[in-house]
Amino acid sequence: MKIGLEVHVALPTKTKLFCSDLAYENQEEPNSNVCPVCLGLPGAKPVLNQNALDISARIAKALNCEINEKTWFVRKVYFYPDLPKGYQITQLDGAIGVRGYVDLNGKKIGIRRVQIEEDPARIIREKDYSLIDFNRSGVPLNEIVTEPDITSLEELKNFIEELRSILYYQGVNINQELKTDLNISLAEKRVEIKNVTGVRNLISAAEYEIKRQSALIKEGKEINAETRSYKEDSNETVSSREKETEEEYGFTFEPDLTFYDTTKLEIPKAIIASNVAKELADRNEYNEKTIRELILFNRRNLSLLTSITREEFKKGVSLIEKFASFGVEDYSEEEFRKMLDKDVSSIEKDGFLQLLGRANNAEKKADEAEIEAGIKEMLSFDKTLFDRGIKDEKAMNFMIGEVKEKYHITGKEAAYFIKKVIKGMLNN
Amino acid sequence: MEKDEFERLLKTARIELDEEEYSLIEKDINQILRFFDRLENVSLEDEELAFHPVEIPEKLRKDSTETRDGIENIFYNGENYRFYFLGPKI
Amino acid sequence: MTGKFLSLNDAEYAVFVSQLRQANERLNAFNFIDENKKSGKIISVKDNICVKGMPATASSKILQGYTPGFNATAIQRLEDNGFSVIGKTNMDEFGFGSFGLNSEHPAKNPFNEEYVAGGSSSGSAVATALIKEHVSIAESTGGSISAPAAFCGVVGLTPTYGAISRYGLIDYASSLDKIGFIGKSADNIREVMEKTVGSDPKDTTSLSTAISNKNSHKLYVIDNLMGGIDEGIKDRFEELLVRLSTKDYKIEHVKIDYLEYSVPAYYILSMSEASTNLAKYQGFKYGFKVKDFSLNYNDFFMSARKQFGREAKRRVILGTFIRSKSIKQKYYEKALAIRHAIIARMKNFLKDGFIIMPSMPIFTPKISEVSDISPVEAYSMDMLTVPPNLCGFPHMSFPYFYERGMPLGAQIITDHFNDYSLLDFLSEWEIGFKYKFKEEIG
Repeated sequence: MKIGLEVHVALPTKTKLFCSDLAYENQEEPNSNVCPVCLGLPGAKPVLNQNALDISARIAKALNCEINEKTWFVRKVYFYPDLPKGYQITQLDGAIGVRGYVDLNGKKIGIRRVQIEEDPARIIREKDYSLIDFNRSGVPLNEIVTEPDITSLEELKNFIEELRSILYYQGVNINQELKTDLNISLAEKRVEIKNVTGVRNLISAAEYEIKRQSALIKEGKEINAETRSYKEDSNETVSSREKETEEEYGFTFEPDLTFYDTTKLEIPKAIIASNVAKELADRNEYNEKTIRELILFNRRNLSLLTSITREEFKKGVSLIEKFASFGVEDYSEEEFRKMLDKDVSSIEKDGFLQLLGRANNAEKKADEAEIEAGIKEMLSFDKTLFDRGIKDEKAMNFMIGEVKEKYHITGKEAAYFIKKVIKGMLNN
Repeated sequence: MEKDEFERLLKTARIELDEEEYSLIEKDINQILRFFDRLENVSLEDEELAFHPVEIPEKLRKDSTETRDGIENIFYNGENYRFYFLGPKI
Repeated sequence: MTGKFLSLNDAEYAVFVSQLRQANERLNAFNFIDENKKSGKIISVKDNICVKGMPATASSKILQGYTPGFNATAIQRLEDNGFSVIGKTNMDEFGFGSFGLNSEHPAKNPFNEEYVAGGSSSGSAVATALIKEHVSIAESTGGSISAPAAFCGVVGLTPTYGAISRYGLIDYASSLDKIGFIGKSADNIREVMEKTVGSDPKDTTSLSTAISNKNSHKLYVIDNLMGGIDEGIKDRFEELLVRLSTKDYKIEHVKIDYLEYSVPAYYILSMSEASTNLAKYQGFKYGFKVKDFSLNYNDFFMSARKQFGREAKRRVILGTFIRSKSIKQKYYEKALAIRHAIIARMKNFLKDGFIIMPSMPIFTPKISEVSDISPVEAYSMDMLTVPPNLCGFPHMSFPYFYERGMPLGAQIITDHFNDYSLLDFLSEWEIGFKYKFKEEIG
């Protein structure tokens, strides 16, 4: 079995890849965050975002890629209403990173290429037309292309977890849905599943496709080389019409841009959390799995655990777990240090908070005005909450939950405040 | 150029030709390609490729909205519905 | 040195516009004339350059109805310096043509309406001949400034590639497109150029390199380029060389390898790039609207793209072919290598002198003589304007003779970023030369 992936992730930049509009999705109305460049208006020209180049180089390096000394862009021509210029600015031979790998417990999964490219617009399918929002058009992406080195579903899961952890440490928001093209071949012919959204769907799509291809092989049937798509509702892959081939994309040098010198970029050594977990486990003779869970997607845990001595380690791990189980998230390194010197092994929440110095008003009460403003803000985001008011128990409970969490107040108090605020608003 | 190649190109380029244009342009294109084939006489194996006529030093943009270049009335030239551009069916 | 431009008060402007409209009915210089009074120094702008609030069609039906909401950088800089745009000038669709005929209403030659104006900046050349003290902001990809300037008896300056920002220029071929000027006085062109040059944060390929005026009295004539030129043109050009040598210019005859491949190389590169630049025209965000959104998007796009003229269709189809992966090396990469080879060889001579040649290999043709010629015949007429354009060298066509009442133009070329030396040459030339025009308004 051979599995290869093309994973797309959005880069954590402030602005778009080739223009100064905001790169992140916001609450604004459609097409409010656009300019001639990302609308693809005639005459507009792209200018590369320095930060997108820096971040891409760091990601490529974290994936053990060779960084091309000169990196450049190409035009990939295809026609779809979400693609404003009729071509996407992307990379191929001149990609920022090439020939890298991800180390999965000693097995190397090859990374063919890390390329910088622009996201198309968001498109909504309607019965007799489509609706297009260009706010997303031009958001900087990295496409990470692997070699077909993944050989089992288990390995696929491990690879995705490892990749997400590596990206997390490069500042990529791991809560965003990954968009992946998946190549699977159980026999000779390669099947491509396009545009799978999210990790769960990726695994399900791979699972389904493996079953489908194995069944065909068992029956002695031929597997077609084709493009398929994953249907989330029915959890299956179905044959889809072929898009353009490489022949038709007609990649050419992007003449509105130039060559970019990567030799002068400063690329810090990447943090590979799974390696750190292994080192910490070895050094401190501690269970690796526990450490992985704590640090794969948590920068502070990694920093705390790497900064303590071998003698403190065991206690450090349980202290991190205690903070988490007592719901204290905003602790500082000093507070962690302070608690590390104390015996907290059999302490309860109240005692723990007392030691921490947050006992009286441990959950520092927000003042009434602050809570009131918070509730009003919440209601303004979702007007139906207000309409349903206090009659709808579900809406009420939701609000109580939110307020409790945000302002550290307990059940009755929260309910009291919310009712008071809503009444006040009704009276006005 | 073979006929099916020409047909494939029209599809790729999203160009539809009426009958008169079809025969005219097909003929022209073959004539122009023969004109381009003159380059076969040139051997410039080790010559560098000039993607631009002059060297273009790199120009990068700071990751900031300061130079944001919004335009007024973005829907002025296109049809829209609830702040979305209307586009063809997909 | 400051130029002298037409400036009109409100009353004069109304009269001027009505005269201009009348002349335009005969000559088709303008796609759009602005009725709103103008307080600044008057210029016109080729219709593929965006002027905020004025239609921009590049003479293409697919852009009909499009009004950009932003200024090209060159226009912004001119408006900031007291210039006012009176209108948008006619052209070959998207710049595809050498005679101005690839337009719904082709511009006519101001000396004789049976003759072509040249292209693709046809309207800019006609407007310049027609209007007093005029400069038109034009654009050249493979000769679109020199050709019409030569046929209309005006001066056409095509700057170094990248000297002027292309932001707001509707792309034909991004690695070849250059905004430039058509005018009839060295001082005027110099003033407009000084106000527009320089790096633009909105165009990656615009350069901050200072423009120099290193002058030379050496003129190179490229003998292996003179083969396909009309005998009559050759004779007149020889006379020009004699005249220049009496003005202390030293003439030297040389040969430059690979120049004979510059025209196919140019068309290969420009068509490849054009086929990507024209992919954005899809019939729904701006310009021509298909309106029937219930069509499947592929049929929708096909339907929109029927609006392209024949030459545009030809170039999009051929450009798409040339970019195909399997044949890219054969044409596209070969053409890039040829461009590199020619730049190096021309530079050898341009480092210590000008290159000089006629602008066009033929006398101004009648419209009827060229309306039916084959594309290859038409492309071959660019044999003299293509080399400097392909290689981004600044060059200038200037009128030097009137044959049976029609002007002839010669073209001189200098090294990258030495553009102002061309204007120094022109200032010197203007001392002993008198421009002739059939009519001038303003």
